[in-house]
Formats: sequence, structure tokens, C-alpha cells
Amino acid sequence: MRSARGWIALLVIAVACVAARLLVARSLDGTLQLGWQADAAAWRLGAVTSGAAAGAALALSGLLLQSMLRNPLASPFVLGLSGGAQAAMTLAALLAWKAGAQVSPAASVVVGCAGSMVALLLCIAFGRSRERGLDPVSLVLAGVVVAAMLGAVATLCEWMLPPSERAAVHAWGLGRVPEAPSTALLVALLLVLGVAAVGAWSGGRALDAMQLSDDEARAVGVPLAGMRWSIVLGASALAAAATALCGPLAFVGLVAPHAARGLLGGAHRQTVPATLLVGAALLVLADATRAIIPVEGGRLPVGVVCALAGGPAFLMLLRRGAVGAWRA
Amino acid sequence: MTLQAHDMSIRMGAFELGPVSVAFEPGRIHGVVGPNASGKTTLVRGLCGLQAIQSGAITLAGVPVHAMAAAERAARIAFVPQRPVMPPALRVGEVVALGRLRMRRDPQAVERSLRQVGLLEREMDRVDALSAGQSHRVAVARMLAQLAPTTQLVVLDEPTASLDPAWSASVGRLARACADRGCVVIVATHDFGFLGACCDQAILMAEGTVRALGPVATVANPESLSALFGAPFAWAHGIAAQPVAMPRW
Repeated sequence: MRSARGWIALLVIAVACVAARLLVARSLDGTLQLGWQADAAAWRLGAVTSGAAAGAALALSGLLLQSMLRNPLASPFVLGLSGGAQAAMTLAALLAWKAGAQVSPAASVVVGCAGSMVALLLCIAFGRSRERGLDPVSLVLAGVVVAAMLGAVATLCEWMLPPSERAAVHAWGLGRVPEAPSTALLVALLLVLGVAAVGAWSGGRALDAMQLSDDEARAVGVPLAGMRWSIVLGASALAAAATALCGPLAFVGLVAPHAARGLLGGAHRQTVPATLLVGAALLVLADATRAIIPVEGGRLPVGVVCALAGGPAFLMLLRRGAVGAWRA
Repeated sequence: MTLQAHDMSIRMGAFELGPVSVAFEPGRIHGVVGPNASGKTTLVRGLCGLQAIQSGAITLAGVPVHAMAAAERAARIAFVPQRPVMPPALRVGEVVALGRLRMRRDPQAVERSLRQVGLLEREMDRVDALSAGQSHRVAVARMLAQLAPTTQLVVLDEPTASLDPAWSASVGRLARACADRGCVVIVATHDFGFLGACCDQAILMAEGTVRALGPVATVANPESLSALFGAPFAWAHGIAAQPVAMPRW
């Protein structure tokens, strides 16, 4: 009964977010356009598709990281996966420019995935000790430092680009949901998202067990090493594909899993689809909000809205006790 | 179905355990006792294949424990840790059902296990809202749900540490029921009442080595326990059918 109410609430919220984005836009000259406009339908649907796919991918990445690391603060942004992808993609853009070449969308996702994996593995390496295993505080501290360092790498690479190339990379680095996404990037994101979502849902009970201690998970039959590598790869690919399309975005991957657990409980067979829906709705709503806010000299980066709205949303969940910790 | 350790040694940072050679018979409850940091948890984790060993071998009914795949280990070995982790937002029934991760779903087995630990009415509650003692009972219920005809070894690490006397006695009865099914049962404990009343064999450990092993009545006497812990022990009467060596305050 509680589950049915949670799903209904979630679907209503998701539909409302999509409707908001379909009915709101801001033209290139800065004029706010309210209401349905048939001639702009393709652009708005493009924005909804991009935002929903990227939001769902970031949210699923966050859920997988939180379950694997048993850490309520784990997310692709906090642990530097988004920063790793951004740094690797910016470096690839710089090297390609120096070689007089272009980075293809597929190559961009692969390079970004490598950057994300490096960031995550660095966090895990520095966040664990031989005696105590993964320490939640050390892990987050390692993530903050790794994310800061990779952010600096991305900024350095960006500044080494010529001004003509730099503007686009800079705008992408601030976060934006494209109305006319690159088909190749969108297909790559949807492919990664589809495989990861099906894998996470079908392995939902094993993910539940993975949230126990290592000994307990092994004792009930979870092949921990294999699952961990699958999650490291999956979470990195999700973060990289979302970052390639929309830039590095904060809070979506952190807030969505907690909101989904609060609505539908902690069992992954429910949490995985709920997290996908919450993540998609959050980013689409953030993009609609961006369109409403007037800004002189161009469009407001959606990354700013994510940070400004996501922070208070997380604090509200924290206040309501919806941010649960793994307790021994 | 004997569990045998041959020259098993384990290294964890500066701590070294063993080499240990010991055999555990089915149908008996083996109590592992020793001072803090003597290696009880390391020993029992090694015996059920959860801790990598440096050298030696451990076999359960002739099969090397460390060579078992995850599913095979879950089918043969059930384990209750010292500090079970309670994930946020999962319900009590969902956590207990994880004991059957590698088996067909059986809601009746989950219900029966919850009833045995007195938590049936909490089945739909979140596990992160439970007390430490209730969390431990959830872990015991998960172990009970995991029991199958293939189960050969049951290991409980400090199962009564957070429990009141009534539930400590219940866990003792559940351990006996496991032994009566023909399982090897190993219990690491600081509870000398549990050792004296429930265990058949005692393994005395200190500084990573086995100092003595044998029937509880002969090995766990006040002299050997006083020497092991550096604290006075004396016979206590009326706790179990036979006198039990208990620490003297």
C-alpha cells in the first residue's frame, strides 16, 4: 500500500516536471516563452530527453556508489567521478586540438569513463585502511581532494585551449542540458543507462546484500569482487556519459537515491527504478527552472541551478531523517 | 562432515594467528574463548573462508573452504558476525530474506526465523530503527533462514554480546538445534555462562595460538581460565547441569 502511494506520488511529480519543461523556454534573445509552442516542440522534447537521460544516469551512478561503499554521501560529484570525466574529456579536447583532430562522441565517453574510474579508484585507495577497510569519513575526504585536483586539471586544460575552443568547453563545464543533443552522445548515454539499469534491477537482491558488511555479504553468497568491479565500471560509465552530454552536475546523484529510498524503501528492486525516475525528474525540473530565471548576457548554466536547489534539498532530507546511514 | 584446519596461519597487519591445527566434529557446539585480541574472530572468519589464510588448509567434509565459490559457500556455511550492519531503509523481513539469496524464495522460512528470534511483529519495520540487541537477533534470524539440508557449518561470533539473558539462552537453544541437524557449530564468545551451559568443546586462545582444546568440563576450569585471562575464576553452581567456571569479581 505504502509502495503504491509512493509510486503514484513519484509518477505525478515526474509528469509535472516534464510538463513544466515542455511549457517553459527562453529564446536566444532572452525572452521568456510560456505555454506550448508547436514550432519549438522538437527543441523542448530534446531538452527533456537530454535532461531525463542524464539525470537518471547520475542518479543511478549515485545509488550504486552509495550501496557499494555503504556511504550516504557517495555520489559521482562528491567522489570526483564527474570531475574525472570532465578532466579527461577536456584533456582529450586539448590534445586533439594540438593534433588538429576532433574527439568523436564515442571516444569522448570512453575517455571520460577512464577519468571517472581513475577518480573512483583513487578515492577507494585513499579512503580505506588495511585494518578497518573503507572508512566513510576518509572516503569522502579523499573524494573532496580528488575532485578538487581533477577540477584544477580540467581548468588548466581549458585555459590551454585557444579562445575560440575555450568558450564551448567552458559553457559545458558549467553544466547545460542541450536542446539539440548530439545523436551519438545521446545514444551512448541511453545505451549505458539501459545496460546499467537492467543490470542493477536484475541484481537488486545482491545489491541489497552488498549493503551488509563484507563478511555478511560473502556469507549469503555475494561474489563481492566481481560485483565491485562491475559497479566501479557501471557507475563510472554512467557518470562519464551524463557528463559528456550535460557537463559535471552536482547533487542529482546525491539527492535522488535518498529521495527514492524515502519514498519506496531500501530494496533495490524498488529503489533502482524509483531513483531513475527521481533523477530524471530533478534534472528536467532544474532545466525548467533555469529557463524561468532571467540572466543578462546569455543562459543560466543548469549546473548553477542544480547546486543552488540541490543543496537545500539535501539539507531538507537530512533534517527529515531521510538520509540514512549504514549502522553497525 | 568434519571441519579440519591444518597448519592454518593468518596475518593481519602486525597480528599473526597460528599455525593452528584443529578438527571440529559435527553435532557439537565448539566454544572459542580468549582475551581481547587473542584471535577468536580471526580464527572463526578463517575457518569459514571469509579471511584469506597465509598458509595451511581448511577443509569442510573434505572440500577446501577457500576454494568454494560464493554460492557453494552460502549453501554449506552460515555465519553471524560480531557487528552486523543494518542498511538504511531496508525492512527487517527483507534483511532476513537475504539469507536465502542463493536459494528459492521462501516467505515461510523467513516468517519462521523471525518468530524464533521474537521479531515477527517487527517484520515491516526498518532495520536501522532497531536496537543493537534486536539487530543481532535479525542477523541470527537471517542465519536461520539460510539453513538448508546442505548446511554443514554454522559460525556465530559473539552472538550474545548485545542480548539479554533470555535471548542469550534462546540463541543457545538455536545453536543446539543446528548441532542436532548434524552441523559443526562454532561460537566465539566472552559469555562463560553460554560456554558452560551450551558448548560441548572449548578452544582456549591467547596471542593468536590455541592454548588448549577439549571438553568444556575439563578444559574450561577455573585454573586454566585464570591463567588465560589473568583474572580469578571460580566454579559457579546452578547455572547449568554441571558447575561452570565464571569470572570472580
